[in-house]
Parts: sequence; C-alpha cells; structure tokens
Amino acid sequence: MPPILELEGITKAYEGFNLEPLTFALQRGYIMGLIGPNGAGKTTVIKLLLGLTRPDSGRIRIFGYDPRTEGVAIRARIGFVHEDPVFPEGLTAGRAAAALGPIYPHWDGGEFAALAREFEIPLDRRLKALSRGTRTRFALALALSHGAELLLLDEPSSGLDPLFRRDLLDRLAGVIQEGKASVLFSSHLTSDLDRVADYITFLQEGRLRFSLSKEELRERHFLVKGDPALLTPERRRLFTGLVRGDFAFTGLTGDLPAVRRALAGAELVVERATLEDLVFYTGRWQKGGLKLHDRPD
Amino acid sequence: MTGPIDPRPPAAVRPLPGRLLRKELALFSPRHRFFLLGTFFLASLQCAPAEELFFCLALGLAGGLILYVPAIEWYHGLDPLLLSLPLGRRDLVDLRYLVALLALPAAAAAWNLAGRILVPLLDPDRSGPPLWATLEGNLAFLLTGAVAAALLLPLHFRFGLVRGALAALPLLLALALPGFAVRGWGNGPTSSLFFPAGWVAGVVGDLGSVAAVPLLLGGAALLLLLSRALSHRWFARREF
Repeated sequence: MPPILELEGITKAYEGFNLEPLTFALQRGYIMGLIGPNGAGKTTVIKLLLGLTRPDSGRIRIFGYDPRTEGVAIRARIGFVHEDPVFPEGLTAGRAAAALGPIYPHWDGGEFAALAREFEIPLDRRLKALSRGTRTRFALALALSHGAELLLLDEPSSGLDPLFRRDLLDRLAGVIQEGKASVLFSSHLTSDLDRVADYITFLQEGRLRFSLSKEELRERHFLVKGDPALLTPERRRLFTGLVRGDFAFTGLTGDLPAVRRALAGAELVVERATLEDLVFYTGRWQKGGLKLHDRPD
Repeated sequence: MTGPIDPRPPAAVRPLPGRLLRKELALFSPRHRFFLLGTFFLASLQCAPAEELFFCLALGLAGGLILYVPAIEWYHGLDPLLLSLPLGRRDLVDLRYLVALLALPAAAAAWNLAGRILVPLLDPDRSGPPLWATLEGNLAFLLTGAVAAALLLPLHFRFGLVRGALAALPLLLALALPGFAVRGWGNGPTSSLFFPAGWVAGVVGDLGSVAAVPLLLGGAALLLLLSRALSHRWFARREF
C-alpha cells in the first residue's frame, strides 16, 4: 500500500535558510513525530504539504497525489492545527465553525458540537477572548470534524495546559487506533512524541538527521560513556553526537558493535538512548558551547 | 503500533460559491456592514452637495465593500488558515472579483439613495440633474470602479493588501494626474479629465446610449477579465 505522505528529495531555499534534500514517508495509520529545534524546517515542511509554499525541487505525494494539481481535494482530507491558531477573532467560536466548517465536503456539524462540549469550548464567546490553549482545542475540534485522513499538527501542544496536552495525545492515539487517520505531529517536546509517535523524523537546520521508527531508534542507539583520553579523531567518527567533559565523554552511537570493537578493553558505560538523548546529542554537533567537537563528517 | 487503514480516493472537491460567500458574509458581519454604510452616510452629509467629492466617496464605499474582508484577513493573518482549507487559490481570486462585481452596483445604489435623500435637503437650490441621477454619471462610476479594481486586485494578490495598495497608488495617481494638470480640480463634473464623467458623456453623445452602454460595460468587463487572469497567475505563485 502506498504511503499516505511521501516526500522525495524536497529542497527549499529562503534567505538565510536551506531545506536540504528531504526524503521521508508516512505510512497509513501511523503517527510520525517531526522534531527539531526552532528554525530546523518543521514549519516549512508543513507549509510545503499544505501548498502554502512550493518546493524548489523534489516531489511530494499525499494520498498518492500531487498537491500542486490536486491541492483542493487533498486539503479536503487533511485536518490542520497551527502552532498559534489564528481565526477571525471578531467571530464567536460557533459562528467561526459555521463559516469555516462547511467548506469541507465531509463536515459533520454534530461531531463538531460533541467535540466542542468534550473540549469545553465556549461556542458563544468570541475567539479573541479565548486563551491560546482553548483556540488550539477549537482548531483541533475543527480538524477532527470533517473525517480527515491525515492530521497535520504544527506544535499543537505548545500553549496547552498539561492536562489537556495529555488528553490531546491520548486522543491522537485513539484516532489512530480507530483506524481513522494518520498524523504528522511537529513538536520540540520529545516527551510528547515519546508518548504517541510511531516514527520520528528529526530535522536540524534544514537537514534530515534521521527518519526511523521509534523501535528502530531505541534498538539501534546507545549512549556510551568513557574516559575522554580514549577519543582519537578516528574513534570520534563512531559517534553521531558527542559531549566531552574533563573526566568523561558521552557519545551517541548507532553502531554499538563498532564502538565496542574500536574501544575493546576500555572501561565503558553503555545505556540505551532515549528520544531526548537522540535529539540532544545529534543536535549538539552544531550548537557550539559546552565542550564539543566539530562534526566528524 | 497500529495497522494501516483503507485508502479513500480523493474526493472531487469544488467549493460551492455559496460556501465561499457564507465565509465572506460571516467575516463581513452585520455589525461591519452597518459600520461601513453608516460611515458612508455620515460622510455624505458633508460631501453630497460637492459632486466630485460625493462621487469619490461612493467609490471609496465600493473599495471598502470589496476590500473589507481582505482587510480583516490581513489584520488577523488569516491567509495560512484560508489556504489550508479545501479552497483553490483560483476560487479565492474569483470570489474577490465576484464581490467586486456585486459591490460596484451596490455602492452605486447607495450613492443614488444617499443623493436622493440628502441633496434636496442640503442643496435645495441646485439646478440641473445631479451626477448620480444621470446615465453618464452611473456609467462613469462603474467604469472608474472597474478600472480601479482591475488595477488594485492583481497587486493585492501579488503583494498582499497593504503592499498591493501601496503599489497601486502610483498607478492610480498616474492615471488621475494628467487630468489635474490639464483641467485642474473643480471645473465641474463633466469638464475635468480627472473626472471620467466628461469622457463618458462624450462617448455616449457620439455613439448614442444604445451602443455606448454595452461598449463601455463590455470594455470594463474585458478589463476585469484580464485583471482576473493576472491575479490567478500572480496568486498561484505567491508563497506564504
């Protein structure tokens, strides 16, 4: 079965930002977390998927179709929640939903009303009077009320209180379990993605660092701690991320057997890397500060 | 992990014009309409006796009707929201031209109505038919509005509301200034080149109203069609 979402060699250049050839795919019925620090290119990817901006090169397929030619039909099947949801603020939530919802061909007003009750959205209040968290809930209710097969969520959990954030994540997992939709969920909160994502795609400064299933990431990646004197330039290349202190180094590796072979006999502490470790150590190469090495490749 | 779901073929989606107009009317709420029309009628109390100014005020009303919703969308930064809906960019362009086609006669009607109510009260000694009551005046109004919309809308779709309006301003002034230079302001509604009623009156006089009206309105329609094609092209290229 073809992926629900497929990017192949997508590039995009803005002044001061380059999205380097980006290739990944999201299979139907899964949640992919798109993670990376601010300025990594997450929002650019979502804009490209929605057709708000065009790629300089490469190919995008959503539901197997090209968004440049089938954009309207594709967006009819997408639910989108923006990081800072903007709506016509002079309208009440109910009027805004009545104006925007029916633009979707499969809009279900009853479903929206039920979700609004569940999410405690005051439909009679103007949107400008609602908190950011409530506007996000409103956006989510809109996105879930037209039978969307793909949910694009751009940092949806920022601005939400912890209780609703947890609810949101549970709901996303529920949507997937019911087989209703696939989700591309951009966030810089690894804890959120750890909780619900099946796949993780990590971007940094416009470069794709990895796009793998969470299981693959957990099984493959380890943190290795040891004496910094062991770190020859050649051995540094075994690590995808490395922080060196005065008395110990901590390195992230995706090839533990190679590290064990190269450092045979040395006293090492090895532990499985968490998603946060992966993001932190992979990201640290280009951040400067601390006691870091240049990226070996 | 969960299993894959069954795919659905993409729906053949064309937003109904009614759905788009519903969105438009929701944003341009009765409160906003009352504000815009109320402002027009209040300003008419001052402008109605001065025909050129009254004409310009009514054109301003037409511009307000056409651009009120884009102004709200610009103010609240709604473009990403609108473009994430199943609306084609061509649909959004067509909607704006449809609104322009509705707004120009609506503004002409408001101009007529305000003139009929206010001019007898404010200028009881007036002689001769007022501009808003003549065929030439109404044709000039529709043509001027159509030319202004045809210039402004592509720039709005290319650069956005504010930058588009700033880009259109020199063009509109360039069209108007030769009239100022040749005849100046205030020589009467049908004598100034700036004031298109004189030119329209000439065409109607030469060709007769039966030939001139379709000719002039056809020209305006053609101009709007060309403008719409340019808007489609420019808006399709715009990035957000």
